[in-house]
Amino acid sequence: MSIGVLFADDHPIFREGLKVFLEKSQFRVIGECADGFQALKLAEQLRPDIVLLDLSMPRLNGLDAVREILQVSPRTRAIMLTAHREEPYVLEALRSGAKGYVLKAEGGPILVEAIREVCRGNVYLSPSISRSVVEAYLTRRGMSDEILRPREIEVLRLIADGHTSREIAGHLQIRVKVAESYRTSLMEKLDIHDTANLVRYAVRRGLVKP
Amino acid sequence: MNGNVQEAHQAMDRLHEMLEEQTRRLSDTVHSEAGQLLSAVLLRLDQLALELPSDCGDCFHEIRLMIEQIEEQLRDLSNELLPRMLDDLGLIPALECLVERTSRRTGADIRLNSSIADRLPAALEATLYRIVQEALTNIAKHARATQVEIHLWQDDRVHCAVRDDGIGFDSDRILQKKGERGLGLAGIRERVESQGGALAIRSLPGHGTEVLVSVPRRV
Ligand SMILES: Nc1ncnc2c1ncn2[C@@H]1O[C@H](COP(=O)(O)OP(=O)(O)OP(=O)(O)O)[C@@H](O)[C@H]1O
Ligand SMILES: [Mg+2]
Repeated sequence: MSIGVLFADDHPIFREGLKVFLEKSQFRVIGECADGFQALKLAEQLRPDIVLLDLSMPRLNGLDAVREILQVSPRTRAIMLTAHREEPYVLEALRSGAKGYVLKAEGGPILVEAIREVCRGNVYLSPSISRSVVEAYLTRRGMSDEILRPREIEVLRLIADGHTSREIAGHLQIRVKVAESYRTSLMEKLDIHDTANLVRYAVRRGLVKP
Repeated sequence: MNGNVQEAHQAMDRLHEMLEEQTRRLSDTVHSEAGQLLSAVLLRLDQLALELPSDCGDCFHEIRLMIEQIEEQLRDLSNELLPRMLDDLGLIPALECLVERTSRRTGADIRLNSSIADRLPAALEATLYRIVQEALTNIAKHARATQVEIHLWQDDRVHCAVRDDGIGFDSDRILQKKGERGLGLAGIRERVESQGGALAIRSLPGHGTEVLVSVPRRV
């Protein structure tokens, strides 16, 4: 059967063009939406083979959406489809679990190739960014490794307030497993591996009142 | 603080916020609206290409290249106004990109050092970005530096230091007049002070320049 694709982009004209293009290219468009939160709901319901996500979107941005989508639909493979070519975005996307990164301006044929490759289980980066990313990887480890993202900060704040992963999940309307994966990733980023020190860190950073 | 002075600072603070908000909207319009439209145009073109007779190939590629160039120029413009990355990923990644662009342009070796691990309030991130942007622009324009260091750290305030090994200047004399085009150092000082912060410049002709800023961390 042909490859089932879900995509999220907050720009209606781009969405329209994308839909027509994907259909002409023999993919099955099974859903589309305008933000990360809807993408998460649709992915859980439709279990697409491929989800294409814009980076900057309202409600839940593409980076946080990737991680959560992969939890609710583990067989889905995510490709970022974006105008941003800066390497911190690319690295953050790969770290979040995206398997592909395609620049919008590179257009149709590249996107088709990306979808095919990612479906085969490979990682695909747009030709014009793959070189800079490899260079960055070889020359240094970006400092932004340790920067917490908004969603991680929310989770940290809730942990510091004494909530369990289950409560955090309820609060943020995410799966318990997802909440736990945020906990793990922020502990890794901060290199803090117990809750007491996490709380101390959050207090020191002014995220919660002592 | 004297009541009038405080009022003036608050008014200035609001003005800066308004300006920043307008810049953000402009940047967004350029990037999201115009840029995305061009992406859609490119997709449509690619779709057209599937049906085009093969002898139109060259012309098609020329058109495509031109549109890609427009898209790139809009992206640069939007970044220059206010990088989206500041919102999406935060101050440090945005500064990393600024540093990379500047060192490519000037050939100077620019190091960024930060011990700030989490996100700061959006207005503070924007202010700090503007400060470093102005300091680096000055270095590119005036300093003839080979080594530049940027340090960011925080206690109850957030501190930022930009140091270069360039030609330096007589800061006491020059700081009286306002910058002509950009915010200028005087504009930066105004903005920093309106947020309850302080700016110091240490510079001597022949001995490089250091711009030091500290701003209270209000959430
Ligand atoms: N890093 C530096 N090294 C050497 N000279 C500097 C440096 N930074 C500033 N100056 C000097 O201080 C002056 C004032 O700087 P300021 O940023 O206020 O204005 P400007 O850069 O000349 O104009 P604008 O910023 O408005 O485009 C500059 O003209 C330059 O002579
Ligand atoms: Mg200047």
